[in-house]
Amino acid sequence: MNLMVHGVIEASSVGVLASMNVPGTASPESVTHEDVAAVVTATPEAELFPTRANLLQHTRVLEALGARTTVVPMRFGVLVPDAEALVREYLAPAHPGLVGTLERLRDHVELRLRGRYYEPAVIEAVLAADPRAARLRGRDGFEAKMELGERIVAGIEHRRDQDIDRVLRALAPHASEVAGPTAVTEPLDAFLISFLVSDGARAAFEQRLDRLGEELAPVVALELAGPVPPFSFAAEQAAAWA
Amino acid sequence: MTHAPSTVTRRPQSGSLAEVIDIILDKGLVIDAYVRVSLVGIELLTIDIRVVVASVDTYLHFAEATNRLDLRAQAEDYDADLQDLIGGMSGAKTEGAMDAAGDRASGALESGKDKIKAVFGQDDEEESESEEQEAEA
Repeated sequence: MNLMVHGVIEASSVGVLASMNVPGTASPESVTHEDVAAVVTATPEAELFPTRANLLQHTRVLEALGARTTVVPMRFGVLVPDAEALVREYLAPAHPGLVGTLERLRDHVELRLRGRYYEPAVIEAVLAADPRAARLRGRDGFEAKMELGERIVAGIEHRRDQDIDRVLRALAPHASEVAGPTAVTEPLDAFLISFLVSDGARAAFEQRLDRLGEELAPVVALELAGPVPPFSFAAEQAAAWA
Repeated sequence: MTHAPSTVTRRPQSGSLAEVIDIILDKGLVIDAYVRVSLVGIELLTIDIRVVVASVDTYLHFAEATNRLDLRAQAEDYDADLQDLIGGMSGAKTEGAMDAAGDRASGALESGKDKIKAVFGQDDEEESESEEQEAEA
């Protein structure tokens, strides 16, 4: 049996595994080395298929862990042959870094903020700022339409930079770390930014967020997901020790 | 997209698979020698095709969305002008769609139309007539 590795917690927290009940999955186990422990699930597979079930299992285990203790999440798809290899080739050599990351993430949560443009409102805003686009509006023919569409998209991009600035100025002071903005893939996506927020700063962060939501409406709709497993704040460290 | 959003939506967890997939596949700790993800069955090609098609499709979509946008709410003073403008548009726009004619263009127009239809659920009759013409052609 191979072991699918979900993440790393403090060894003193392995007791939380007993209280975890992730529907439809085998119970996760722990592999301990000194004061850190990897959380793993045994699997007969030799490689992991990124199926819906597998991806969700990994996510749900991390969410259940995160609700109970500090966890450094592992990327999906790490399979080790046995507990001994896991300790020898990872937990032991990466130990100092893991301890540091656990320390950094302790009493913090990752909150992911997504902004989406509300189409009619953002188009009105762009038209108001771009007289040429306003004149092209309603014009007939393929070329006029292409230029109009191009100007609207450019206008949204310009606005996006300003909106990101505004979000960061409002919320970064309440976060310990910020990751992103991640490059957007859809024209109506405004931004995707992750914040690492300490338990103590959470209420102030949420309050400022509510005000921000009112400031940006109706052009931008805000959506806050989390706490999510702190993937966005584990990656750099991982790269340094890989 | 039927109501203008007014406040922050909160979701207690990571949410849908689409939401988490990018993150859990390329962030987090790794043990380099032991990444064992099978890429069989992942349609990487669709991403490239998307990029190629995306810009034309996007521009046409926004042109259509802009042309169909009803600005009535914000400008009572210009109401008459706007009504003229919109009235003139709905005839011209159908011809424009036919001129553009390529499969890709009409695909984009169709999708733009659906979206706007969803936004302005019940439109005037003139609007639905011109949509029927497009659908027949």
